Amino acid sequence: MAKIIVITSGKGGVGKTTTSASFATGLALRGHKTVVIDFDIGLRNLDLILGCERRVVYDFVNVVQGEATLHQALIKDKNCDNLFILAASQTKDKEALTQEGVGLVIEDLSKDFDYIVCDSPAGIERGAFLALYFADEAIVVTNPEVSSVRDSDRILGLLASKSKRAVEGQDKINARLLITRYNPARVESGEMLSITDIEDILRIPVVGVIPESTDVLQASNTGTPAISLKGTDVSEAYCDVVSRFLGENKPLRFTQADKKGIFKRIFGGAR
Amino acid sequence: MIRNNLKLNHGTFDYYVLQITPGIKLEDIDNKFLHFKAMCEENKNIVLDFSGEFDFANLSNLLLDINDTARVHGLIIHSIMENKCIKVHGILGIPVINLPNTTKIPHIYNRTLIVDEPVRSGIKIENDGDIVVTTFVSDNAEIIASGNIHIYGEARGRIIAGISGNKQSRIFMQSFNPELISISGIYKTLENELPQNIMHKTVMISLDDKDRLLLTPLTK
Ligand SMILES: Nc1ncnc2c1ncn2[C@@H]1O[C@H](COP(=O)(O)OP(=O)(O)O)[C@@H](O)[C@H]1O
Ligand SMILES: [Mg+2]
Repeated sequence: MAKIIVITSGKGGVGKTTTSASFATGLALRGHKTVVIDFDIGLRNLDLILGCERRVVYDFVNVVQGEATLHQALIKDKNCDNLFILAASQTKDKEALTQEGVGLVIEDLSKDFDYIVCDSPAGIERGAFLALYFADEAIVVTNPEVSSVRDSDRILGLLASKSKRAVEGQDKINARLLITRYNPARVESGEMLSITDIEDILRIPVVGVIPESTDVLQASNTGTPAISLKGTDVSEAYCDVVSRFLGENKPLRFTQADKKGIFKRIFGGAR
Repeated sequence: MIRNNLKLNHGTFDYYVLQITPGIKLEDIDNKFLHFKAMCEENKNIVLDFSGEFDFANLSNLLLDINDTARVHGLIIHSIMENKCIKVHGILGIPVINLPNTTKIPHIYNRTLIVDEPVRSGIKIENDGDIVVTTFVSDNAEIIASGNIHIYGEARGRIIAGISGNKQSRIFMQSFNPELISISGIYKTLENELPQNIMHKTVMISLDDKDRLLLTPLTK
């Protein structure tokens, strides 16, 4: 039986898709057979970030509506044998997914995969609800700002009350916090919330902190998940997330401002 | 048989349910109406509950007879209960109703609701009675009680006690940091003007004799 993980946040643009791609790749690189599903019907982002957009023939909606088999729709990642992608449809409308249909697809995937990673759309409506409904675990993606934290809090409320596990009275969904686009310098200057501020409000364990970095844009432009940009802070940070998720103990990194950096900026610095 | 007495709107109206089975005699019904009348003077509404097989022609005749009998005793046939045998909208001008949907849940006062889950943003918890939250309450969540409220984690959000006018209600917070507090309709929003001696402290909130909100720190 696969473990189902939803990558969710409430707010858009916080890094869910970036995280889904890197996290799923990381699990696959560790030898776990992993599928990542794009629930953002109408936008289609995940396939771009994973660089497989030209290979999408059938998508998630086609499978849910019985127009294609899972076998036809699953796209094998170009770099990693253990990773498969189920793309979202750009053309169909959001109502195309039904709870029952999604349930059947997930049940089918559960037989073959170790992990099913669900990339949630923004909002707290149907798409986001379906992405979290079947989850065993949740990674709640938050940026260090008040509106993002508040939306994450709402999502945690939904996980605790509206998910399958909650409705059926099973064990609670294990929810963990991933703080992304963290900019230590702006945190220290008080422009952004700190890790402790966010933990104080949400009270769930932190699975990682991903620094704000232009490498992410670079990665998505070249159709490579950020975790595969060897040697970058973002890649290292995502590797740590995967390790912690799998139970290893790793201290947080990239959370302190580069003191020299600030110094240089304040005094103009010698370039 | 007076089967039960369903209270609507916590005691403003009582409806009595009279159960009717096939073959029931009109004199039995007459006897029961007599009994009803003696028992309760203010409530004159009867709900009929037909259970068993009735054929429609017989049923209308029976209903006419029951209606006449009721009128003799000054009682009113209010409605017919929807069930397996009765599914139409009305019979002889008497409405068929689905009682479980039209009755409100009986009002129970002073029942304490204990909440063990965090009350997250966007969630509203209401209780006619006290509310005890054993964890925390987030910003943009609401706790609304007709009685007292106790919060044992950090209390953010909107905390509203004594909603139906009980001025004796109090709010207790282990860690004071709410967006709004209210007792019996008297409220205060708390943005940035929080005195430091109560912020994140254990605080009791009550109304004083001039109906002002009183914030008392419970720790030194
Ligand atoms: N750690 C990061 N540093 C800089 N930019 C990032 C980071 N994570 C995500 N982004 C950028 O933020 C934008 C939104 O990211 P995305 O993963 O699509 O968010 P979501 O799926 O939550 O809407 C993208 O342009 C992405 O490149
Ligand atoms: Mg996305």
